[in-house]
Amino acid sequence: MGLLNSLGLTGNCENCSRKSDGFFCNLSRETLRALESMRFTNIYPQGAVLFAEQDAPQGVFVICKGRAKLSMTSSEGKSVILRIVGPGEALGLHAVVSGQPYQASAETVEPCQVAFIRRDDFLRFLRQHPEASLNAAQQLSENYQVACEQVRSLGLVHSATGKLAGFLLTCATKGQPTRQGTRMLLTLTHEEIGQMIGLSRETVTRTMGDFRHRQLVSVRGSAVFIPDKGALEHYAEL
Amino acid sequence: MGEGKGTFVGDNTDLTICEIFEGLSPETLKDFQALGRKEKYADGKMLFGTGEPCSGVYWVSSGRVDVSVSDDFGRRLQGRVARRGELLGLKAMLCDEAYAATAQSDGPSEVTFVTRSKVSAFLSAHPDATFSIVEQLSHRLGIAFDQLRLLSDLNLSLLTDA
Repeated sequence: MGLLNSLGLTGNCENCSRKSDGFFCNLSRETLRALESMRFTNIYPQGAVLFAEQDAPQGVFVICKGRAKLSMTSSEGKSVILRIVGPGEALGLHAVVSGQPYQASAETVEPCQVAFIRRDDFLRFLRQHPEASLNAAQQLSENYQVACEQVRSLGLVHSATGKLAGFLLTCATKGQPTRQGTRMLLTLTHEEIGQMIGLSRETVTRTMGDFRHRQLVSVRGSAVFIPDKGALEHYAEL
Repeated sequence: MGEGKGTFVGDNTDLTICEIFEGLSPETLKDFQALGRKEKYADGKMLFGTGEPCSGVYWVSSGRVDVSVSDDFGRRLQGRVARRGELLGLKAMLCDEAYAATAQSDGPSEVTFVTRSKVSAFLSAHPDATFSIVEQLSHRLGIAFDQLRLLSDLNLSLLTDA
């Protein structure tokens, strides 16, 4: 508990001061209590592997604090990042529900607090709490949409400009309108962006520089502005 | 009873299997089917449009429905055809979002419409139906993962630095 307190966290979902909009944070008190009774909370350092591709599904990992990346490796050893997961999201949901091995590896990208729920407990929890099942369905539905977008980007979009423009436009759907255009926070490195869309770090940096030169985007720290989404769509090979 | 945009045919009485609910008990399936309002759509008639608030789900009973995504300028970006048994509008309903695509009848079709509030009440009362959705979405996600792996294996080296 001392370590949890030092990170500004509580060990209890109901009273958690960092409750997010995540799928597994927005549950009723009764359902949260049921979840609490079966979860184990751990703190992981940056770079810790929560589970590896092809491991048998032991359970789901819900991120309470921090971020983790979900990635798969091609037969040539190249890494493809599927997505970066934040607080309230569950990792390993597909494997646990389907009973198939984990399709991807999960690794923390910063120190994380993670709740683990064993597979059998989690499946029973979903069957007994439709509210939790609905949240799981929401998350799977969004994960599916992201995966389809990546399939489209990897398979159908061939130019670096098209891939990066598509990626930025996808991120912009969660951005905020400002006088300078749509503003979004991009905390990924160029290497991580490259691993999501199938480009090298150098190509992402070069293409982003080109976009800035053409005033398709402007960057201030980790904030990225898109002044004219229509102009960027022109490059996105949509 | 809430309405879609089609011509009312009658309360839903057929036993078309809704693919997302495969595996449900006949009783539960019947409960869901009873919530529906069957409507007829002429060729080109729109079921719902991109950006419209989600009013419910549409379940194709017969015929074909064209589902497309367009950009801000109305250019068609992606499209597919939904056939008998497919449920449309589920993601918008689950995630409390506007419809992300436009659905139009491709030739005459019959579609069963179930209002959002009825679907929510049904899912709350039938944990097995909610779990069935989780299983089906998980299955679809698994297929998408397989496609991603295939693309990574076959194409990533070619795509890199394209």
